[in-house]
Amino acid sequence: MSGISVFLREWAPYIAQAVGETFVMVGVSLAFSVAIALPLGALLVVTGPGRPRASRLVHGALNLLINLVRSLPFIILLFFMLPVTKAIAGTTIGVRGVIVPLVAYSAPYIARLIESSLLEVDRGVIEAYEAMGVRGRDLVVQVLIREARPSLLRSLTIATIGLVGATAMAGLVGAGGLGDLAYRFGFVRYENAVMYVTVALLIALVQLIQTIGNGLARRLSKGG
Amino acid sequence: MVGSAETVFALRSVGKTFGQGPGAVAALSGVSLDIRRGEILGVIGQSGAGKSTLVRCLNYLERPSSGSIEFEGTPLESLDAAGLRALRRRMGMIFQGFNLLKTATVLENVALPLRLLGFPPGEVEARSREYLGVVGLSDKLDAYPSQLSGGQKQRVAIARAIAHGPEVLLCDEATSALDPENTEAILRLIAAINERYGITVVLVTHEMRVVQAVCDRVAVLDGGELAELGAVVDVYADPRHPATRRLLAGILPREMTASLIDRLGVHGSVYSLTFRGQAAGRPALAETIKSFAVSANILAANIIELKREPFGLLVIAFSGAKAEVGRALAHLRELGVAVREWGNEHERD
Ligand SMILES: Nc1ncnc2c1ncn2[C@@H]1O[C@H](COP(=O)(O)OP(=O)(O)OP(=O)(O)O)[C@@H](O)[C@H]1O
Ligand SMILES: [Mg+2]
Repeated sequence: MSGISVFLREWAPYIAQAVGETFVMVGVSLAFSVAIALPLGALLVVTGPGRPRASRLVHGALNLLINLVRSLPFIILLFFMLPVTKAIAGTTIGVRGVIVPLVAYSAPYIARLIESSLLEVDRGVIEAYEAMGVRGRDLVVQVLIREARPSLLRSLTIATIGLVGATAMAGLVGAGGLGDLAYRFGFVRYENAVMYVTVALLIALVQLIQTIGNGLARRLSKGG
Repeated sequence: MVGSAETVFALRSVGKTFGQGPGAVAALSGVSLDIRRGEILGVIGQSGAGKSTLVRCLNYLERPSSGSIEFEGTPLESLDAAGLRALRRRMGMIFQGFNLLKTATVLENVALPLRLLGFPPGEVEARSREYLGVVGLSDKLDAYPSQLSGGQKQRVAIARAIAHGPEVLLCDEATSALDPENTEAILRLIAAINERYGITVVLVTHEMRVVQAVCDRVAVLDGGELAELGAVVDVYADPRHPATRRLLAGILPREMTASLIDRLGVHGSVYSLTFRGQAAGRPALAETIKSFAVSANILAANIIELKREPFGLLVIAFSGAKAEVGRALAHLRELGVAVREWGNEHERD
């Protein structure tokens, strides 16, 4: 029997499980993060100076909050947030326990990316729609966010890849995932083959995310 | 269309100040004017004169800091958010930078606002196609703005601005980003839309040529104040404010003429003749010189095509017996030529 099939028989279940955990962690925390970050980013933009709903108070408060949370590296956030995590998720371990800190880590980051994507939209365009009597909600959703879609997708691609990195630390709370696999077997137990396979998988995953992101963004920005 | 007597916008002492304290900029001060239904009103002035601020006050993209604006009798300051949106739906606006959605096709660019304004889907489609036809872009429905020329982009913007059936079209430097050929085509289109739908047009520009091509009346802004307001032909024939003369300098060479008169030393016998409409087309001067014992030295001559009529300005030094010159001038006046003594020409006759 070849070495490859021996290796696979021994490690395939672990690797499959780790890939699955990584997908779940990235997918679920991305969904929550975007759900929080999109309104935050839009609010940041519309309350900014010279914008339709300019408000120093709201804009300043949001800025401060986002900066505070973003000051903490994920690894610190993970431990610092334990009580909050427990209260929200009911547990602080496993995949479930890591979603809360992952969201807390990436939502403010994504909000910033979304803010800068939305700021790229020409203000004149918004003004043209304002001048036609389009209501504020539609201005944000149907014009601002719509026009920013290609840029938003590129931002989300960056954020997703960042999340893959953050999940690698999730092993610390027993959440598993590819990073954890590489650490536990590849590093601690000197299983070099596992380490190489994990690294290859991570590279493939990041490439895949980037390719899908670019493709979608390109499709939406046909006009250029 | 020539404007009717009916007032669409009534502006009373409109002022707009940006900022506060010592850094404050008075973009508009004490501007009072009426905009008439169906007219094309040009708003001209140098950069920073307050032109954009003025049109943006008309749809309340900018709120005046003083004075009042009424739209068909409704004071704009009395409107709540919903009322303001309803008012804006009765207007359309085009811009120097076109302001189209880059990620939407030509058709979508016109259809999206209609959908957001609540037109039923069938009508959204029908209107979008109809108005893109009006601006001559029926063959570009699926193109993206990046695939269009500047003139074509402005056509899309015009279709978008009129597709919902507004009563007023506001144009802020709509041709400033275009080459002369496209400028002319877009101006022709705006004039045609004004004729066809009776839409009142307020057209901001810094080029007198744009005013003379399509406007019925012109408002000259200078440092935020209304320097002059009148029918284009009247303002051309008799520009009173220095700002207006500056703007006309490149078109009607009055200043050059003044220095020429000084050098020739022909003061006293110099007259400016303005030919308007019919008179511009007739050989009035040649006829007159034949019939009277006078000779004419033409110092400056200029004929331009205004929207409705040709307009000519001649500056002439007459020589001959004083009484004979007087009779010749009277004859010219009979032929419909406005005659004024040079240097004394700003008493309107
Ligand atoms: N949002 C603003 N904040 C501060 N100052 C402003 C603002 N908008 C206009 N101004 C000032 O008001 C004055 C008039 O500006 P406006 O844009 O109306 O001029 P304009 O006649 O349209 O000039 P241009 O031909 O350059 O477009 C200028 O001094 C300008 O700097
Ligand atoms: Mg301007």
